[in-house]
Parts: sequence; C-alpha cells; structure tokens
Amino acid sequence: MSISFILQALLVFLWTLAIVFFVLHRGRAYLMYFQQEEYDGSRFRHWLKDRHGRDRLTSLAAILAGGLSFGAAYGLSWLDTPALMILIAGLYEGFRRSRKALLTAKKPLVSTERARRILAVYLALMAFLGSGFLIIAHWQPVPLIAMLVLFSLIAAQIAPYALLAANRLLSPFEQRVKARYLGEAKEKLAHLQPYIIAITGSYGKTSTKSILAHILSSAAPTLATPGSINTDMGITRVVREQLKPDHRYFIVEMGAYGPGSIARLCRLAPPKLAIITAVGWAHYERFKTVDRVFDAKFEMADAARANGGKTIVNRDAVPQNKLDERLSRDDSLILVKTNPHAEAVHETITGLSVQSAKQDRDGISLVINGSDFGEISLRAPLYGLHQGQNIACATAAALQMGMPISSIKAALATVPQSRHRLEVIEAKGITIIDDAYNSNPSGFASGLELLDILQKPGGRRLLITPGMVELGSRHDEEHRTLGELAGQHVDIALIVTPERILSFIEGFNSRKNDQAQLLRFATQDEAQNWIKDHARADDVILYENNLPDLYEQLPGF
Amino acid sequence: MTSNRKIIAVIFGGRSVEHDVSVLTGLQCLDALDQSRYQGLPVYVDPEGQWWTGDLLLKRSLYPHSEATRKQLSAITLPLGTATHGWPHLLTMKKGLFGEKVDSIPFDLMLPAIHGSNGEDGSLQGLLAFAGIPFAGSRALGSAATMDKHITKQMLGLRNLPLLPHVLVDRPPEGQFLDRADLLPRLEAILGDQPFPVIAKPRRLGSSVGVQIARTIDDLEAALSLIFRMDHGALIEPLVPHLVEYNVAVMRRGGEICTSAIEKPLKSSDFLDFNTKYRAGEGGGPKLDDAPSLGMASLSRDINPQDLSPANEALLRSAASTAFDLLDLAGTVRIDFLCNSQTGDLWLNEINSIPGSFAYFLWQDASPALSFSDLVSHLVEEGFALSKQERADTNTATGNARIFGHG
Repeated sequence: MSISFILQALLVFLWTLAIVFFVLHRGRAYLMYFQQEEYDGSRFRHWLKDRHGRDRLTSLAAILAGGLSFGAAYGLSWLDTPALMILIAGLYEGFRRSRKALLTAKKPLVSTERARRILAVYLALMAFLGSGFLIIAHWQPVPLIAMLVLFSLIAAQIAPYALLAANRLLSPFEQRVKARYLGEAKEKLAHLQPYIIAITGSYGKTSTKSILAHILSSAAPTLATPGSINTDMGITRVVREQLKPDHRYFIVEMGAYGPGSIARLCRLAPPKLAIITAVGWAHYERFKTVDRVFDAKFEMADAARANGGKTIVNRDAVPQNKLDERLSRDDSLILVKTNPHAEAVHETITGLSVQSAKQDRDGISLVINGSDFGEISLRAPLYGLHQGQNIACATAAALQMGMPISSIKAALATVPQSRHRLEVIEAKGITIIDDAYNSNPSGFASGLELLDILQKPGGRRLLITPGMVELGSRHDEEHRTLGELAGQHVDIALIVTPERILSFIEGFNSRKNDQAQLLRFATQDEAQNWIKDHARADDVILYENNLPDLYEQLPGF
Repeated sequence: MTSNRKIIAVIFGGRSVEHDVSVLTGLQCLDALDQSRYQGLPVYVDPEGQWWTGDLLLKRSLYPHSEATRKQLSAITLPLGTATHGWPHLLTMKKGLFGEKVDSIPFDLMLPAIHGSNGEDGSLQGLLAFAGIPFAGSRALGSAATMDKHITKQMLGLRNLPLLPHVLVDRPPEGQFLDRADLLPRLEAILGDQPFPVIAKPRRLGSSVGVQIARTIDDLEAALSLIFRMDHGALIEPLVPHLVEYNVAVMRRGGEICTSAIEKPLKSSDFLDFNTKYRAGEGGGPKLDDAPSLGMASLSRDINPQDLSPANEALLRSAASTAFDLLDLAGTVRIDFLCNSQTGDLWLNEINSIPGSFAYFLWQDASPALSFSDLVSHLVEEGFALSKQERADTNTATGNARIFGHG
C-alpha cells in the first residue's frame, strides 16, 4: 500500500468524522435559534436573513476545496490532498463555531421532547441525503473528492431548511399533542372555576395585568399569566403547570394575532370580566386597518358578555366612532376616562374617570372620580405618566369585582415596579432610572422627563444610551427630536456608539445649555466605567435602551 | 478515636425570608463547635424545603448553590413514621454497584439555627420532640409563644412587664375587606385620640420584613394590605419618639438565669428595617456575596452604651430574665427593648428564640465572658439535658397510663 493511499484513507475517515460532528452540532445550534423563534418557520427564516445565520465559512472552504480538486481533474492530482484538508478544516471550524454558539448562548437550547423530536427527524433527513449521495456515487463514476465537496457544501447550506422540513413533517403530530394539552387545560379551568379576567390591548396590557394582579392578590390568591405570554399554548402551559385550586382569580393576557384569535383564546379561558387597554396601530401588518384591530380586540367583549360579564374599556385609547357604534348595541361596556383633558361623555356608563395625573419622587398620583365614592386620590410607586391609564383600568376592574376603593388604594401603595422599564432605584444616594428594556421614542421621552422630576438639589442629570434601534427610515428624524429633548433635560450625555446616532448629537448640541456636555464611548462598558469613576451622590442617571447584550450574538457560521 | 465525639447536626437555611441570615448563623455555629468534643454535621434546608448535607455546605461563597454544587451534595430526609430504637437517622440515597441504596446518617443532637417561620416558631421543635430527637434551644411552647408577638405581650403583661399598648388586627376573611370605620375607633380606644404615627408589624414573622411606619390612616391601610400578604394578623403600636433600641441576650447557666452585655444597634433610619438589619453597608446586593460578612455580628453597634441609666439597665435585665423564665425558654435568646431617649421610658419589644449569630457577640462581652465556642457547647449540653428529661416524661412505662393489656 502506498503512503498516499493510507493518507487518503485517513483523510476520508477524518472527513466522515468531521461531517458527522458538523451536521449534529450545526443542527443543534440552528435548533436553539429555531426554539428561540418559537418554532415559527417565517420568524426563523427572518432570523437567518437578518442575523446572517446561513453558513459561510464551511461553504467557502468547500468551494475552495472544490476549485483545487477541479485542478486535480486536470492532471494536478497532488492537489487532492490539500483540497481534502481544507474541506476537513472548514467542517471542523463550522463544528467549533456551532458548539461555541451553543455554549455561550444567552438563552441556551432547552432539550424538550419537541426539540428532541425535531432533531431526530433532521438527522434522519440528513442521513437520507447522505445515502442518496452514496447511491449516486455507486451509479455514476464521480471522483470521490467531488462527492465529498458537494455533500459538505449542500449539508452546510441545507441544514436550517432540513430543520424546517423536520418541523413541518412533525406538525400533524405536534398538532395532536397541542390539542390534547389544550383540552386538558380547558377541563382544568372548568373544574377549578377560577374567576377569569382577560386583558388585551395594543399597549399597556402587560402593566395593567401586573397592577391588577397586585391589587387582587391582596384580597385572595391570584394567578396571572407571567411576562408577555399571551398565546393559546402559553396560556395552556400556565394553566397546566401553575394554576392551583387555591387560586380564586386568574388574569389572562391575550394577544390578537389576527381576526378570530381572541375569540379562540376566550373559548380556552372564558372571561367573566374583560379589559381592553387600547386599540392602536401595533401589529398593523396583521390587520391592515385600525377598524379591524378594534373588531379583533372586541371579540373579548363579546366573549365576556356571552359569559354574563362586563368589559372595561380605556375610552381614550380606542377609536371613538367604532366605540360609539358598539355602545349603541352593547350594554356590557364600562368606560374608563383615562385622559384628564378629554371631554367627559357617556356619563351614565362611565365607571371611573381620571381627573388629574402627575408624578413626583414618590411615583404617580391620580385623582379619580367614581360614581360610588366621588373624588379620591390614588398613589402608586410607579413612574411614567402612561402608567396612570394602566392604574385607572386596573382600579376600574377591581371595583367591578367588588373590592372597596379603600382596599384598592391601600394595595396600590405597594405595587411593584417592572424590571428595566422606568424602574427607579436608589443606591448610595444616586438615583438610577433603569429603562434598559425600552425601545420606543415615546418611552425615551418619558425617561427624559423623569430626570427633571427626580433631580435632587445640587445633583446632575445623566443619560447613558446607545440610542434606539429598528426605527428604519425614521432613524435620523426620531433621533434628532430626542436629541433636542435631551438637550433640555440632561447635564451629561454619555453616548455609546455615537457614529450610529449623529442626528441625536446634533439635536442635543443645538438645545443644550452651556455647561452641559456630551461624551462619546465605543462600548457600554467604557461608559459604565466613566459612571463608576465620576457619578456622585444626588446624581440621577437614566439608562435608556442599554441592554444590547439581550440580543444573541451573531452566530458567525 | 473519634467515636467519643458527639455528632451535632446543625440545621440552617429554611423557607422563610430569613433564609440567608440563617445560613450565616448555621455556618458560624458549625465553625465554633468545639472539635475535641463534637463533630459538626451540616443540614441545609433550601428555600424550596429540600434538606441537604455535604462538606461543600460549609463554603459560604457557594450560596445560592449552582447545579454543579448541588450534584456534589446529598439530598437527605428524616423518616418520622418508623419504629426506631432511640431516634430516626437522616437518610440519603447512595449510588452503589447495583443501583441506588439507602444510607443512614446517624447523629446525636440537632441544633436548630433556622430563623423565622418553620424554624424559630416551634414547628421544627415540635417535630423534633415528636421524633424523640435530642435538640438544643427553646422547646416548642417557648418558641411558638415568642414567635407570636400578640401572645408574647399577653403573657408578659401578666407579670406587669413594661410593654407598649397594641391593637391586634386580623386579616379579613376572603371576600371581606378592612373597614376604616371599624379600625379607627379601635385605634383611638387603645392608642388615644391622636393615634398616629403608629408602627404596624406582622403578628408572626420574626424579622423586620413588613414592619412599617404609618403617619396617616391611608399609610396604615397600605401597610396592613402589605402585611396581610405575608401574615394573617398584624399589630399596631404607637411609634416611640426619640427612639433608641437596646438588646440583651439571656440564658440559663448552672440553674441561674443570666443576662449578657447590652447592645445599642446604631442606625440612620427611623427604625431597623430588613435592609438595615441584614444588608447594612451594602448596595442592596445579595449579602452572601460579600466576603467578610459576619451576619448579625457585622452590624455597627454600641456595646454597654453609656446612655442607658443604671435604673433602666436594672429594669431591662430583670424584665428580660422574667420573660425568659415565664415563657420557659432555653438556649440563648435575644430580647429587644425600645426606649424613648428623652423621657427614659423603656418597653420590652420582642423576643428572638434563635437570634442571629446566636448573639455570641453579646456573650463575648458579658461578665463573665463566654466565647462563641463555649456558647455553642452550652447550647449542646443543655439540649442533651433537656431532652433526657423529656424522654423520661414521655416514657409510657412510667405512670399507670396503660389501657391495653400486655399479656
């Protein structure tokens, strides 16, 4: 046996090892991202495109190896060996990067039964593809190296789609599993009979839910769907895993994912009371017109009415013409006037109206007016005036459920803040406004206003931000407006990655006072180090949209 | 050679809000055990209620435990419904050649170092007594009586000890709500026409969690709303102006009740809340991460303060001793007093049957002084003696209480 034959055999063996490891780990890595996208095919395809998830490195190595082996076909047969080595190195590096992505992920792969099923079918598909190649190689005298190169290239490119195909193949099975879980959740709810309160809205629903949960839990054990879980499977899971016989109230957030979706969720968890916090332009792409958004949200009111219940509506956050039309035929609505400056109409059916809302160091205070108790003031240690609407809706709901206003008021005094959403923290005399999760300009503006409200005598107002992301064509314009606003509220602006938001800097400089300064930092860490060295007691610091590391790193395949 | 050493199972952690402080107390106590006489066995109750043992429990930096640490610990149980000679051993599952097998861990005495609910409130003590396990510290009755602030004050009132008046408010039954029209007259009847400011505290929680000052009826309703999330009763007391606090530890040595040095905790805020008590000097981070944390021993305090008048010191020591005796306490307890520094009025505030760090810092400065190691030895030996006495009491053979014939 010649040395070169042994070398070739060894290399083919190494290639086999490399391709197996590559296919397995790349598959698991893609599965992790697919899982993060909740096994939604179109979201995963978006991810592949936006986050540069398709394979580049291994494919490049394969193409290079292919080029070399092409040369081999023209008589330079010594090129086969380096070609194969490059191919193996490319596969190995692809494996290594996949493994690194799996190990360093913020949200690692959770090995659920569904994930294991998808991975198994994916591996079967890839093995099927491999055996296809073997058969072709048997019938067609293609050079071995060409087969290896071609299979490596196709495997690297096809892996994410094989995963999607595996999911598609499994979908009848998953549907059955899902239907069984859904049925069990319905049965459990019918058996335990908690008082179900459903909440939907284009915005404000998650905050309203947590405020109401805090109020109701002071009266009786209460369960609310956690975070922003609002789909049928999410709600099913909460019912199956968390709902206990003790729970007297169950607050369910429901998302409108198209006409009929809320009605479907209401069949799963039929509400005795519904809350519609807002009808606006969010998810425009799913509905096309705001009227359709309205109709989709008000499916919840239909469900509550069918169940003998009422619906609390934030009157000043829904289209008036649609509301008027609805009022003419539906007597189950309880309107909450949340905008102090709005005209008072529909007096007879107004559950409660907000007379004034303001905020200070201790949080928000509202003066509300209700038919049962007249005028009363409410306080909550929450920040951002938009919370006033959420407090008013939650209060109206608790009133409707029979809680006296004094008990609601007492519970509101200790309502907890939401993490990283205009969350105010005092540490060593420094006030921190943590708005790291915010990603919209109006939230940014609320944070800037809050800087003035929380400023202490002699203290400075600091802002640390990398700006907003995903504003698209409005990027420059929105940042200029925010920069101008920041100029009026900020003494020291710490800008991370300033080259991204030059219009913000221009806006800031055009409005700032003479003492105000703007500092530029390449990374969040550098800005944070500056804060560590320079912040002093009585300063107030606004962290705006500062959690870029919330996003997974680019996979870099 | 080590067979003569008694095995002392120190149980710490627990499901109450005071879990973290209890870990410190437990580890300090294991560290202070006299190694020539005793062998320590850590028994850790995690916040979910699972019991663990293992050498890694002694490392403070590993709390809260990671999955990797967990794998090196042994989950243990205490079987109660089994016939035993003596008392049940702790059980653990060991991986053997032929699958898992049950391994028993013997011990001679359990030393409860769990603060708050399910540790300091008599429930653990009752369980240990039921199982016939020798244990240290106060028994079920004293532990339960000192945990419940209303009962404590009712009992101590019988001996005319100085106590603040209080109003007891029960959590309204589900579906009913607090009515200020009922509450205000009750406040005025006991605390006077101008009852505010007042202090509201949970009836049974041991720590300062939930303790709040209320200056208006609105404040008070908010405070009660919060307390009723954790406890089904609340005490409302007048807020003492010009407040200073004094604490003293008490134990029984050689049949005599004796008191320790007196401490005056130093603090900046209105009163000692959970944060100042347990997180002093930190930015609110988890205190177990702080390297030289000494738990309750790390708080700034004034030992044997000069501003306490001799008359008040005498009153404080005698009131503390009377309380210890009346409530049939054991081990070392810490009794906290409130004082109006302008008028000199003094009131007994509360009794901790398992104080943080076993209040060793107060015994170190007592006369005669007692080291932490000697303090723990005392707790252990007293525990053996008390349990021996109780075993004699419950022996069915003594007393003619048999109904069923035995041949």
